[in-house]
Amino acid sequence: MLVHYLTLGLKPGATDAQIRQRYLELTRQYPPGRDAERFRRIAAAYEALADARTRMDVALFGASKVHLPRETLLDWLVAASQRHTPGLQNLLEAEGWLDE
Amino acid sequence: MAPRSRNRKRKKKASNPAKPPQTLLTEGWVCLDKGDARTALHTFRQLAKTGTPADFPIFCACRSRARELRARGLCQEAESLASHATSARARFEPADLAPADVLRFLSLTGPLDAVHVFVQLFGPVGDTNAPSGSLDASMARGTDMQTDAASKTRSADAVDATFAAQIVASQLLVGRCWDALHSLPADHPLRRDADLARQAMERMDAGDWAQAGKQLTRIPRRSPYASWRLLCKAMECLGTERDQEALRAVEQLPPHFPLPTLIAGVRQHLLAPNHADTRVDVTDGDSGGQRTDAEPASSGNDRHAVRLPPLDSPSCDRLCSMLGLNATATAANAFFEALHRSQPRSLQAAILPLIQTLLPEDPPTVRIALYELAAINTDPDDMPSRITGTLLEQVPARRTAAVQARLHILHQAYRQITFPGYEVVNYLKVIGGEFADADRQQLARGRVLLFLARWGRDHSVDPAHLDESERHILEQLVPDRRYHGQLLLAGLARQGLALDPGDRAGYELWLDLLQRHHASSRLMEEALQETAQRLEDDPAPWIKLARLHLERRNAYRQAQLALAQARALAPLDPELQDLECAAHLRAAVQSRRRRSFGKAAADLQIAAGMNRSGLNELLQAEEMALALCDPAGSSDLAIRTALGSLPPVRRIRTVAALALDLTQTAASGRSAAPAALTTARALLEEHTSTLDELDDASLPQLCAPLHDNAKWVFGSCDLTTVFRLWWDRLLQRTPPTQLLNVADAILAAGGIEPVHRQLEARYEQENNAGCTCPEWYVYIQVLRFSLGLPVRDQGLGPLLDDLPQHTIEHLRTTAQRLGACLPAKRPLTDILQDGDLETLALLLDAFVRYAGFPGDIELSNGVGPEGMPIYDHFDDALEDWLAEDEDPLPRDIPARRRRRSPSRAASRQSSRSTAAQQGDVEIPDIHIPSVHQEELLFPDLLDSPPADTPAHTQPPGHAAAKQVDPSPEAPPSHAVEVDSGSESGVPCIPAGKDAGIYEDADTWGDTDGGPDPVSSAEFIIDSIGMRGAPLKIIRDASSRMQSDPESAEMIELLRTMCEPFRDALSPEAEALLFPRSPKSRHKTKRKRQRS
Repeated sequence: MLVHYLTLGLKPGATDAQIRQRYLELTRQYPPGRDAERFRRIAAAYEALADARTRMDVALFGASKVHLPRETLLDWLVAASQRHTPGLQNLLEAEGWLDE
Repeated sequence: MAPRSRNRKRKKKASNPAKPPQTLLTEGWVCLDKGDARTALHTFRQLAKTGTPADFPIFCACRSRARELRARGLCQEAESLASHATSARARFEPADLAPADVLRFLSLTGPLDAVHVFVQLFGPVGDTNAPSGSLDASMARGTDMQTDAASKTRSADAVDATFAAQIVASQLLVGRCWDALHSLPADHPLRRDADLARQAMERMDAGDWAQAGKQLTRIPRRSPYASWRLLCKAMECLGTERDQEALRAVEQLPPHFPLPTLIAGVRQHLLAPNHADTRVDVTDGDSGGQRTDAEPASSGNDRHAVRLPPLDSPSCDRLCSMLGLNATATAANAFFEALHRSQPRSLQAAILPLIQTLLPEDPPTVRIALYELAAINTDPDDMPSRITGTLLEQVPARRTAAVQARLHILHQAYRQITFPGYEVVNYLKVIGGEFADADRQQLARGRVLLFLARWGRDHSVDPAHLDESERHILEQLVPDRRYHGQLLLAGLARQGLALDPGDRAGYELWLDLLQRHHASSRLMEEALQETAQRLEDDPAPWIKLARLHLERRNAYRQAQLALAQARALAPLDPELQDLECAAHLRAAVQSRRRRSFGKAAADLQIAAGMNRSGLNELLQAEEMALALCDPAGSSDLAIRTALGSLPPVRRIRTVAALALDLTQTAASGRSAAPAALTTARALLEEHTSTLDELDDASLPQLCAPLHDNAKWVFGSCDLTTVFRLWWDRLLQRTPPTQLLNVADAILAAGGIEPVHRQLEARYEQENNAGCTCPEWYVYIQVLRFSLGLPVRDQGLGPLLDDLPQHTIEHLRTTAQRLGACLPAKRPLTDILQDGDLETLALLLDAFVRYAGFPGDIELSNGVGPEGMPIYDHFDDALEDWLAEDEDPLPRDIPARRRRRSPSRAASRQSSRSTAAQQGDVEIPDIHIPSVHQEELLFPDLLDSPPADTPAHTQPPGHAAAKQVDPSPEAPPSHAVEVDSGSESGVPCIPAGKDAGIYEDADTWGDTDGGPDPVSSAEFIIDSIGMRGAPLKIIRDASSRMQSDPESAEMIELLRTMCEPFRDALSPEAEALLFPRSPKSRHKTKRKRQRS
């Protein structure tokens, strides 16, 4: 369950309202058209934390992707540790060069 | 202005004495070089206020700051500063700048401006390849900002044109303004190499850095674009984790390169800690703690000290995260490495940074999450204790035990794929270690129990097959004894719902489990009542309750009450309305049969008022039935008039429904006016004579099933049986496109022969007309098999060889469709439902051809040799047998072959006996030496004995020497599993026995005299374990015999077999085969009590 809190940028123990608010912020920041993969992960994380019953299911069995096919901590760490090679436009945008 | 703020202003002036312009200029440049563009801009603005021209410094600071803001996503603010920069740009000339300032200007200005200025300064005659002098950057900065006309040319000449060209090349790749190069000569390196650079740029944009690097290898080494090869190399190496090569490439990039933040970030992450001397953290309190990294130790470009400052640290981190270079990545990689190598110390070192990255406030939660990660991907029992200890340091032991118990559940369920009953019970004992809060603990218990029930349902677990101890401890979790035994899973679901009452999916699970395990209707009713009360807004439980009541023939009033509840929740639900209408029709039928014609009419009126179009046929049929049965009802003439107003197909179907209803009434023993039935039959004959008037397109509608809810009214939705006498005519006249639809309906009603007859005839017609109908061909072959006829032509095999793949796939669907309606037995139905045409071809070709083998092979559901399911064994045996020789029945069959598929032989025997009884199976006239036929077909112990000997006394192999006449009393063998401890040499059910066992088979026929009853009886008892613990298959069959007809049949046969020597059976075996009734048990108990 930790991974879903990490994806939403929350601490374990966040209330339903805080989870929902954070979910709405992130979906505005990363709409599907901009970053589809990230949006999918945010939506899956929210679904996992949406109510007490699903939170309990994830807490009990979320480590196994077979039972609950959502992102596990392993997926999260593997994704975080993977090297990426963005394109030149992305690098220049990150450096603030575009829109000259 | 208020006096207070005036004082504040005076104090501020006093604390910030005016600095000389030169100091301000120097400080500004220093800030800008460090990356603090904001402070630099402020400083330069102060410089401008002193009257010193500061347009160029302000321009540089604005451009840098705009870049920073743009990187943070503050585009509006960035645009504002960019426009300030544009204003400042208009107030100075690049030609007037010092050489180093020219380079700085070229780096910071826009791409178009950079190209224009380059052309202006170096022009068409500028020779960028000629060595030129350099200018000391500090001199350039420290002297006048603007030069006079005389020194202008000197400044331009002093600028390193090569360096300038490199900066412009980078600007071109950033800004993509390639058209500006037209003002340069064609052989100018910037223009000459532009095409290759553009191609490489496209690859870079796509992220294909390797390919981009290959493109750039074609440019000269001195080309202005050459430094971009280094970037491509660096990015390629970063992507493939060749960090040292990446670092080497990055450090060779020139300082003016337009990705300084990326370079700084890469160096920061890839430089080893012991190279700290090359790293200098420069913090500036005024700039809020921004830090920059030291310059490369040997960049070789010190004389051209134009260095683009990196952005602030968050931008640096963001860029590095984009590449996968961040603290989390480093820590995660280290963690995986340590785990892979099972090194506790490395693990210890890797966990701490991971905790800091993930959740520094709660290290135990992170440790448990990492432990779960490690355990779920290995077996928890296999993880070294030192690793477990390292991962779970500082985690309380109670919590650790609970986590481990929980992970064992997951391991058992998803790695071992076995029912995790024990594991769940163990976890429930220690669950308090994970959930101290009572509410959460209760919820957790409920979820775990529901998980177990769901797992059992999804994996078709039969509680009767669980270990007794496991079942016992699970039953302790379920206090209601009605949920013990077969309903254990439903009981667990119920307990879970008691702890977590709001789970809608849990209620569906509970009801599903009750249905699957054939719970009593009383229990189902209780469950549905409880579900309906819990899920107050859901009409589905009420609808299911109504269906349950309708299944109980006298409970239609209760069904109506349940439907009324559902109607209150969903008045417009069409399923509900159909069911209500059917309930009223049912009530009308019941009332009519009890001769309460008034009530029947009232219910029919309500049903008619509901206007359910799908039930109109039933309604009209019931109205006519009532009219016929009620002495005060309408006359026949009125009924005929009413029928005449209906369209032809509807008319016939209504009469058919009427006939079906009245026939069922008569068959049920209820009183029904005999005249009514006669009239109905007459109507039926009368109206079906109009079949010829129907057009071909509407004929198939006759056999269409009634509405689903007809089963509540009639007990059946099928009108096809009513048209039995007209099946041939229907099939003859049905158009080819609808033929199989009608055939399916007739097959389901048992009309194999007419369908076969008509399909053959129609197939001949089509074939003669040059049309191939592979679907019909499949039907014909299977029906021939079912009727015991030989295959048509060459069989299915050659057909499948010639057909394209998509047609074969279509034929698989055809086979599945046939399997759904053909009344056949296993394994034929299994083969058809699997769409397994290849095995079907083998089956049809092989078995029907010989020995008059009827189509319905009956094999038990047990386990065959080598532990394979009988069905698979059958497939393998069949293929082996057919694959060995061209003629599957050679004259001299070696004895070893008898080992193959004994159950097949025994089942053949039973089929033969069945066929002989039926007397209607056509046995092909094929000569097979009888001794070989017997060897092949009846190799094993449970061969049918000669008619004058008891069934069980036949010694092994005796039948091989005789012409066996299958007697009806001969017990067909079922694939009974042989205990591994049984005597060798038992040929009955070879379970992977040695080949040597069968070497004696040749001598089996050489017995003197007749069979030895005693030894045969002992042989049977031993072979199926009846002296001690009976075989598992017998125990299983005994537990299933109430619900499974095949198991009941098997037990009955064994009982018959073992009856004569019941005394020799073990008590357990006797209890299985001869269970005592509760009454007799009670009598025995009372006898004991009395005695």
